[in-house]
Order: sequence, then structure tokens, then C-alpha cells
Amino acid sequence: MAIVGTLKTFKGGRYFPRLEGLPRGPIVEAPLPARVRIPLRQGFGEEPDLQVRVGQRVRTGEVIARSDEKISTPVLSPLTGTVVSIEEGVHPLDGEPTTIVLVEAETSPSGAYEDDWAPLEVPQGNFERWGPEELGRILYEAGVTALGKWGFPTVYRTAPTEPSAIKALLINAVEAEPYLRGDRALLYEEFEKFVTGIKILKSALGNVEVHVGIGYDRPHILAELEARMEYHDWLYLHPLLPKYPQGEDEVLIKTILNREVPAGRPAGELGVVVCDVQQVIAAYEAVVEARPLVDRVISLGGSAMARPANARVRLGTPVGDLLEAFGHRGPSRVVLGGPLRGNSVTDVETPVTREVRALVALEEPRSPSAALRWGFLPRTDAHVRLLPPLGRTKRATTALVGGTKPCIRCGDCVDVCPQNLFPFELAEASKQGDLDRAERMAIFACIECGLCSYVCPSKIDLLEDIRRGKRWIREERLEA
Amino acid sequence: MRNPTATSSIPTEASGPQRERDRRGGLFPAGGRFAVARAPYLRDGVGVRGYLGAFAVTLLPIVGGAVALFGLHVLALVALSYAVGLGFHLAFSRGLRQPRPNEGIFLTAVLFALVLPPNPPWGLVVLGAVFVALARELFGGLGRYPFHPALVGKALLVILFPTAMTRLWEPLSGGGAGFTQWAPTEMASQTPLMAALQGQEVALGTWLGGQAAGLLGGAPAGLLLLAGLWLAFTRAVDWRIPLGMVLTLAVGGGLLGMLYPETFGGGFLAHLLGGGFLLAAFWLAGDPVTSPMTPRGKWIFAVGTALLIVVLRGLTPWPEEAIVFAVLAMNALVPWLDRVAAPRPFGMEGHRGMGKGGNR
Repeated sequence: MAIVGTLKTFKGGRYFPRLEGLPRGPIVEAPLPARVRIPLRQGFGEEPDLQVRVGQRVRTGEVIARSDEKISTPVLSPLTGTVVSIEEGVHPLDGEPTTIVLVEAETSPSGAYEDDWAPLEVPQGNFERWGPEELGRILYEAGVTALGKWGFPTVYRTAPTEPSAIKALLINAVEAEPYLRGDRALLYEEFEKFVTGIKILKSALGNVEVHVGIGYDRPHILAELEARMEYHDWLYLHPLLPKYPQGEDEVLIKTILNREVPAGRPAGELGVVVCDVQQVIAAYEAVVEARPLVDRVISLGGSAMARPANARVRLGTPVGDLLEAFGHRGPSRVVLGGPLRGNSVTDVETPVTREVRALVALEEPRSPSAALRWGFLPRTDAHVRLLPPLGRTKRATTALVGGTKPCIRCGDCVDVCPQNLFPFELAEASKQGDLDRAERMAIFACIECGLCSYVCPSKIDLLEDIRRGKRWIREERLEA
Repeated sequence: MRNPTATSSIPTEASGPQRERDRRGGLFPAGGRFAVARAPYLRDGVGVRGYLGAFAVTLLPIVGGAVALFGLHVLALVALSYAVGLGFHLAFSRGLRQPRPNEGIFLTAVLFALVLPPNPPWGLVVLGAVFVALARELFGGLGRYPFHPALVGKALLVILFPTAMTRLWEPLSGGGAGFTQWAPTEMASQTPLMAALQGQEVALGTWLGGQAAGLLGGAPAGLLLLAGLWLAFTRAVDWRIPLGMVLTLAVGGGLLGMLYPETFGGGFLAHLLGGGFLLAAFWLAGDPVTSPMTPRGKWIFAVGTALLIVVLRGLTPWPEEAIVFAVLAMNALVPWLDRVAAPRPFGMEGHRGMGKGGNR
């Protein structure tokens, strides 16, 4: 019997209101791009070795880079076409150098893009009889193991921990980050794939407990899962409050298992693997449909997006194509990822990679009156309000209210931190260069959720200061 | 081939000097027009002005109540202390590369006016306002002062001029009489709090209607309660502090009252509604700058403040001044409390180099 737990939540965090420009409606297919840029380092892992040359024709799903020696997952071609160039570039999300492969799509005589798939090698019959090694191989070759913060452990070197060390698989079906609604749409449309995908991942790991965290505002999902998984006693279902950042590894593990991931270390050290809905469904598609991971569902939205939607987008699609397809209007700030943790995009050629979950375009107004977001206007989301909150959608813009002020020591950052840290002190220690103190105060336990900066009335860049502190400490360690 | 640049413009940063102007903000609420350029790209919709503004706005009915009871000179008190505060702020801001933010000056001015006794001598008011401004600016302005400036001003005045500061006045009779008169005319012999401490029965109407004459801000307690609850509703004040203080008053005050009824008597209602306790609980102790940042620190702060208030009321000859010195004493402990009661970070068990020293 699947066991249903009590409603749980965690200390701190923040509910986000219903924001303007949320993606809604069924998942659409984004138009195929004319060319894709593929960074060789995508998702978790190092850069695998190139397997193609310039001028080579590749099929959709064909291996572009693979290395069984490094901790990595193969990179596959998302399009059918020709490799046009291989150059050293910069990863769109972390700014570190990586090799980027540019593939230009092949057009058929009728003018449409060719889509010639190279299917995975998948044995016949029911996957439940294949065993963890075979399943691991399929997930590896499909590219599914690169998803997740620390990868998915298989017999290949896909994660820092061995699959034998894993005791629990946690599935994040709570999508609490603003503008991220792809998982929600997938659960609605591909529920069967999700259910079977859970069984596949469990079989790939062996004898593990599976815990699924579901937003309590969707009790029908919970009921369905309970009904479908009736005969499995390794499954635990947990209704969770959809408070951000419930979906983060550290927070989910603390809420469901009540265990703390050692600061800055992979969850695998506790014997836990965390997957999200996309990874589960991608696992199903790889194992049952022999379909490699060449696309993913992304939420496109924001107050500056005219046609917000959840879309299936080929990896490597340039951001510019998507902005045009979904009605971007400026001036705006375009963010790859959620608006709290993502990266600002200025180059329209920036590609979408495996880890990207959203493309958010936020209004960036240029007039002073736009920055007037008093706490008592109902369209503003504010921690302090003079009048009861009215109205249903909140305007999301990047407008600051006032410039950066000194800390007024309100303690909101402490209240909101899900890791029980003292963000202001961490930021101060980083700014003052007192890196020992920062490390003692557990700066590496910070999951960079961004809530401290979000909630600060003085608009102090706490997240940025903490990130800088971590960078300096890491650089110091490398030098030593 | 599609033109890769044929999409809407993605904006670049503003020019250097403009960005500097934007970052600094200005006198207007909209302030800096700078948009956030780093994660997180969304920010909470309220700034420091809104945050401290919630404190100030909820005090306006209290000021109105004080005017109704004691005359229009209350408004002059507010104006005078604001003028002095602003003057010192501008003087201290001259020549600085970054202008100091001017939020909080109005709030401090109103609070200073409300902790003064009715009809104080004007020379002392000016002197007190100077102390208030110095207590704020000398430490670095907004967010950097360890002691609540309004209370520093009052405390220094009380120490230097005790008789002048503890003269009591009868409130002006007739509802709303204060709006037509300047100042009270009759002197009083004791406040309801003093009466209660001596064991006399004081009617509830006296408390709520506001005859508490020791501080301008002690009047009318009913209004204070409502305004305080509204402030708590805005979430500007951390509810832990007023709640902690009230609970400690009930439990600790009750205990002391039972053990030593002659000194600490008076009853829960007297202590809660009299002598500016509610003003202290919500606006003085609850002030974010001079209270701890950490949740546990806030609870300890609340318990300590309330206990000190009860003790000082019982043991000193001026029970009306107890809140001033109690809050100031706890303000001194705030940096230590933040360190000692810091939250325990997750994921630090067995981490090398981490002892119980924590964030020292």
C-alpha cells in the first residue's frame, strides 16, 4: 500500500502570489529552430569528449560527446543537420568556459526541417525484467542522468555517489518557484508516463524507498497516485505546502526525511537522490519509447511575454527564437531560469540547456512612477502591507522601490531563510573579507534560493554578496 | 536564413552617472529608478520607506488622541523634533559621497514627541531633540544606531531635569477639547498607573479613554491597542516582540505581583494599558533597528524588556519612565543576543572547523 504522510512544510520560505503572465493551457510544441548551439557541459557533470567533426551530418538524438571515464552524461544532438562549427565559448548559465557545438538544421525539399531520429538501443519486453545495470545504461545513453542537481547514479559515472549507496529516491512534484509551471502541466497531461517513470527509476536503483512530494493544492494527483500504486509498499506520498523553495534538494530532504544534507555536499552522501517530474517522464520516454532526451518542457512567461505558455523546446534553441515565438515585448529583462535564481540574458543566441526550466521576461520599466509599488496597492506583492491584499494577479516587474539602503535590521532575511542561516551576517562577512567567519556560519549551506534578497526592504543584494563570498572561498581553497 | 538579431531589444545597463543616481534613490518614494540587474529579479514590493512608514502611519491616530487630550502643542512638539532631526541629518550628510537615507527621521520625531510628558518646557524639548538627533547621526544614521534615539533623548532629559520632566497634567476635559486649545491647564497629582501601583482601583474606562498622563503616547490605551494590532497586521513589526512582552507581563508580572503585592501590584490590566506599555511593545521595543534580528533573540528581548518594565515600575520613584530605561537597557544587549541566539544552520553536523563557537 502506498503510504500517505501528513501535510508537511519547512521553516522559512515564501508563498508567491498569482503573478501576471503565468503560462497556462496545454503544452505546446515550440517551432523547431534553424540552428542549435550545444554546450558540451549541460546539466550535472563534466564536459564529455567530442565524438563528431565539423561537417559531419548528425541525426536527432545522435551522440555528439561522450566520455565513460569522466563523471558525465553523453550530449546528444537535438536536431537533424550538419555540424557547422565547434568553438570555445562560455556556458550560458555559469559563465565558465566550455566547448560549444553549432548544428544547423537540414531542410527537406519541401522546406520543413528534417527530423531523423537515432533511437536508443532498448531491449524487448517489460523493463521490470531488465535490471538496474541495463536501465542505467539506457538512462545514461539517453542523457536523462544529467538532470537533477547532482545527477542520477548509475553504473556509469553519472553522479558523485554509487547507486548502491542510495537508500531513498525523492521525487519533487511540488513546483513552488514562480513562473515554473511545466511540471504541473506534465502531471496533468502525462500522468501515466509519470507513474510508470517512477517504477522505472525505482528499478534502476534497486531496493530503495520512494518518496513523492506533491503540492497539497492538488489532492487529485495524490489520490490518483495512491490508487495506481496500491500494491507497492516502497512508495510514500507526502502532501507538501507549495511554498518556495520546497523543490530544492536540501529543503525537500529536510521536510520529507527530516535529515540535513551536509553543507555544500551532494545529497548522495545521505544516500538520497532527488528527481523532478521532467526527469521521471524523460526516464519513461527513454526506456519505454526509446526516445533520447533532446527536448524538455519549459515555462515561458512573465509580464513582458504576450503569449505565455508551457512549451516543449528542443535543447540548444536560441533564446531569441523563443522570445519571438511567444510574443516578447520590451523593454524587459529576460531571465533564463526562474526569476529568483536564473541568469539574465542579453545575447539572443544564448541556448536553452538541459537544466533550464523557464524563460521569464519581466517588465523593466524606465519611468520613476513605475517604481512606485506601495505596500497597500493590491497589485503589488509586499511583505508589509497597510491594507488587506485584494486582487488576484500581481504585477511582476524588476522595478526596485527606492535605491539600496543600509540594513534596518528587520530580520526578514533570517525569517525567510529555509536553511536557518543568517543571510545578512553572511553577506557582511563576505563583503568584509572575513571568509573564515563566513565559512563557520555555514555559508556553504546556502542553497542560493534568493529569498533573502527578495524580501529585504533595503534592497540589499544579499544573494550576490553570499555568492561572491562562496566564490572567494573556493578560489582560496584552490590556491592553497 | 533567419536574421538572428530580429527580436525585441534586450536592454543594456544605464550609463554610469545615471546608474549612480538611480542607485542612491532620492527624496521621493519612487526613489531610484534602477531596475534589478542580478538575481533575484523580483523584489518585495515595499522599501524602507514603506516599512518604517507603516510604523509612522499607525502612530498618527495616537498623535490625534494625544492632541484631543492635551491640546495642539503636541503637533508643535512633533514639528520641532522633526525640524531638529532633519537639520542634524543634513548637517551630517554634507560632504559625504553617498547621501544618507532620510527615512525614519519623521518616525523618530513622532516617537520622541509621544514619550514626552504633556506640556514640557520648550527649552528642554529642543535640548532633547538635539540628543535624539545626535543619538541617531553620530552612530551612522539609519540602521546603525544601537539605542533607540527617541528614548535616548527622553532618558537624558529625565536624568538631567527630573522635576521638570515628571510634572503631571490633567487632560483637557470634554471630548475633542484638545483640538481647540493649546495646552492643559490643570496639574495632576498622579497618573492612573501610579494609582494602580498603590493599590487603588482604576476603572477600565479610565485606561481606555486615556487619562494616563505620564507620557503623551500613553493616552488613550484603547487606541494604542487598535493601532498596535493594525501595525502587527501590516507585518512591519515582528509579532514576536509585542506578543512576548504581553505574555511575560501576564506570567512574570503576575508572579511578581503575587509575591510582592505592595511593590509590583496593580494588576495585569494596569501594567498593560498604563504607562505607555503598549507604545513600548509595538513601536519602541518593536523598532527593527534596535531590536534583535534573530527570532530567538527577539523572544529573549521581549521577555527581558517586559520583566524590566515591571521591576522598574515597582522599584523606582518614577514608574512612568520605566519603559524608557527598560528598552534602552535591552537595546544594549541586542548585538550579544543576535550572536548568542543565532539560528542553527542546517547541514553543519560534523563539518570540520565548526564548533559551538558558531558565528563568533
